[in-house]
Amino acid sequence: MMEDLNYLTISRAHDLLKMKKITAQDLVKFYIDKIKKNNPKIKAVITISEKDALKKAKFIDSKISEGKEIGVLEGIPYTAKEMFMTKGVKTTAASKILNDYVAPYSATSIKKLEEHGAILIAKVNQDEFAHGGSTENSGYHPTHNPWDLDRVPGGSSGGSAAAVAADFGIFSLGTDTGGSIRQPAAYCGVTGLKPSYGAVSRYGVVSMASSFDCIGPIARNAEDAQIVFDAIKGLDSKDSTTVGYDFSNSNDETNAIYYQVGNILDEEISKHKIEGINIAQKEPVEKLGITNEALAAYYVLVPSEISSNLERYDGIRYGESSQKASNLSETYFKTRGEFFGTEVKRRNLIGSYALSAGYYDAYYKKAMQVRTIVKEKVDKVLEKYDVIIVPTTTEPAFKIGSKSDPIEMYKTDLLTVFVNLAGVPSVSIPFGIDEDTNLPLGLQIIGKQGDDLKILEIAKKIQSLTKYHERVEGITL
Amino acid sequence: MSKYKPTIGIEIHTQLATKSKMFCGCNNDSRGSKPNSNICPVCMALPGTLPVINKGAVEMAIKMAKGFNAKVANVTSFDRKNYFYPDSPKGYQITQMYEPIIQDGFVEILIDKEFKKIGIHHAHIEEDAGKLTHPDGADYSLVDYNRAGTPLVEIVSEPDINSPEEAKRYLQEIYNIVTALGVCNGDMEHGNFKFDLNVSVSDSEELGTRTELKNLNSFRNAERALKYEIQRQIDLLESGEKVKQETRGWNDAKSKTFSQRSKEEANDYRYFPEPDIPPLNLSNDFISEIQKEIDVLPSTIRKELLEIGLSVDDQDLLISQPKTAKIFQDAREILKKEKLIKKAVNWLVGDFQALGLDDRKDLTGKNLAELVKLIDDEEISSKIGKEIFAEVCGGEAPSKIIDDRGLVQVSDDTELEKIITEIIKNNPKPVEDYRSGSEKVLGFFVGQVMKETKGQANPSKVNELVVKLLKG
Ligand SMILES: [Zn+2]
Repeated sequence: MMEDLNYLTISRAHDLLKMKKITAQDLVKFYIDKIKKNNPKIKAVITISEKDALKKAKFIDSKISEGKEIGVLEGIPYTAKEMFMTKGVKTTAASKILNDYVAPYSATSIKKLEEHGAILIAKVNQDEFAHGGSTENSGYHPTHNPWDLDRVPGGSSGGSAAAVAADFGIFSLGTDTGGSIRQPAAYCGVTGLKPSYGAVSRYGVVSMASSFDCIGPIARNAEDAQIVFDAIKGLDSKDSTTVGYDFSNSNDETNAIYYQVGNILDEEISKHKIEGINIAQKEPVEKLGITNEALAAYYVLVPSEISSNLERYDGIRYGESSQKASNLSETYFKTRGEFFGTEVKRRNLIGSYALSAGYYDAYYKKAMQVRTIVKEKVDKVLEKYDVIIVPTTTEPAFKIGSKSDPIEMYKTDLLTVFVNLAGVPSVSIPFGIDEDTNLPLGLQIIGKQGDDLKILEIAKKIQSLTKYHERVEGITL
Repeated sequence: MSKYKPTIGIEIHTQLATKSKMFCGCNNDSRGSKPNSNICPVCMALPGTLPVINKGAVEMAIKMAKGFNAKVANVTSFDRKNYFYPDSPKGYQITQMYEPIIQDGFVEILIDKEFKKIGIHHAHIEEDAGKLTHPDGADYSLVDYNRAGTPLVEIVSEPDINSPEEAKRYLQEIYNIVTALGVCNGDMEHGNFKFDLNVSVSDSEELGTRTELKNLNSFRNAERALKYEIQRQIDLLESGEKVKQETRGWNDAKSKTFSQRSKEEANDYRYFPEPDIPPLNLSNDFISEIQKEIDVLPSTIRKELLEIGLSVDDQDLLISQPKTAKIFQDAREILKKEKLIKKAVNWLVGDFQALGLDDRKDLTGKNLAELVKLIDDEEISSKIGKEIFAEVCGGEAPSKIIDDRGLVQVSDDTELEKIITEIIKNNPKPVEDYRSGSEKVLGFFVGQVMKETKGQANPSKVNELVVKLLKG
């Protein structure tokens, strides 16, 4: 092959296809070969969909050879988190309880990408039912960070972030309930967008916590994230929580407030003067005064919704069912006992407890009140400033097995969770390198609800200047 | 009577007659369908599926609110009731716990010719579960999810009911309202209308401990079960024992209630707001737009029937048949005079009821009014009226039937005189008998005239002329 196909962006791949420098089948083969070669080290991929992907690529190639126009996503290979229903391709949510489960339909976002001609090449690992921040809680195996195989890729969309960093496809679809797109994107040095709540249909994506879950892209850069977001966003008659946002964008000078977290990225941010972005205010994140409260409320509300959303996995209609059960209640207890992992059980218990009669007011209702306050506070800041800038995490990717205490793990969501409580959009972009570990760090740009395109526009501006997203030399493959 | 006063509250589950299920596009009518043929990823709760509100069900609930003199919540929301059972695919039921769509209403029931108001605390939308069957001798159970997701409205009364008779009348009144509004098919055999009865007795102002009689589906059984249960509770109290708070069933064969589940075993349903469905905003304009479609309410019909002095049984009969009540309404509009309206009602509670449902389905108020008028104007005899009634019920206009068949009543003197003279001429013997004082041969002559005219002669006219001509 004449062209260097490593680390292609969507628009570069599109150009190569259009100019007939490569074929869509070449592209698919290139990524699948790469997965086959490097996945044993990374373990990001659970299922490869080779035959189907090549069939679609062949169709697109014939279109190109007939001289037909192709869309920007046509022939672009991508991966999707195990949460996404993909007709004909296994969907497990990385849980043993859905071992070998094949959905009879595809998620709205998957369908939309298919309509745009993007090609699903693989399904990727995650924490079981998205419960976690490291992908160590996968029911199958942990995924390794391509920058340092001893470290986690983050989570729960760790497979997606690792897949993009390891160049297993050009982008990936993830889900973000409390940081599950942004935190792994930061840990893996890639770009992750958590859209406004309701901007992208949740239909066909396993529900973790319905009132928090957002679907979004993990990509090589903000431009790619925007292309994918454009394709998957919009009202869906199958998801009544979708919102018809008017995603208008303006090119006016942006006023930002920058919340410092210790001295993480502080120097980096002061170093870069970005045209059109004015850091009008700079203060420690403690002044925002909601991160700890948001985290506490999150870990009451999310498990509550989880406990209810997981009730359908009962061993009766689909999925695994315990062979050791001899009556109905044993079917429930043993199936869920055998096939749910520890963290899933833990969240089930927390949630069931918070919702039970006598505790509802003290936990669920109180946490809902905190959620309202958090949203009000975030909205108020965003009335004054166009965007909030804050690091995505307080540290780079940690070592596999180093956070055995669940509370320590929950704390990795400290800087992302309040965004989900507020329902606003946030994009995490690679920004700076941690000096001690040489690992990537991430920066969030958070906007008003519906300002998804605006934050992406800002991210693009920053990326055109800093080029952190182009650094791949630290990747150990 | 007894020093104990019963207090009864009722929860009614009505199945809405929507085309599709509450939260998915599946057909809502599974009668005659094979088990698990009316299902989809949503009502089977496959991973990733989400519920979407059926607008038709919401509109039906809005109509119900009008029938119950109730308020429609401007913001209504859905909640989850969590429980594990094989008939519940999601592991929770979507219901309305905190902001039900129908709030604060009442209906009036007729007790001893007086109206009594029974408060309706609220009514909410929820989904039905699947159906479980336990094959005889098998060590497994089967689930049919065709019914899973069927829209229900649960109507919760205030504890304003104080006797089994009142309970029965309340149930009938609600049944009449929901069927008249067309929001429920009222097929009680198929569980379209089921109810739970909460009952307690007390000899003081303070309410006694209540029991709940669950899952009844006939008015008669409701009355019987309540009578039994009230007596059982009184007997317990009289013998110094306590009533246990529990759920009881009704055994029809034994005519007894029996204990099913005690309060201690009650589930904790962990209710919380349904995060997959945002609160629904219902503007007053939208509400009145929907409620404008309602023709007439059973309570209005009852008052009209009461005015013309119809018996309660006949009132019930008409009200319980929304289509018949509509015929009555239309005929009443045309006839206007009370005397004629009564006659129309007599047809509806009499001959009309004797016909099969299919045979009477095409009667219109207009045709009924025409029939009543034709008889009243002596255009046709009531005998002819009865003869052609079945055809009128089949959709033909009475005027067309009599025109086609030349059935117009003969009242013309000269024509009748001609016929009578001929008969007198041909029957010298009876004429002789009459003239020698036998009045009863009059009937013979009238009969002959009717026969000759194929029943079209006006009987009183015939009588008058026969006497006149016989006397010579
Ligand atoms: Zn369905």
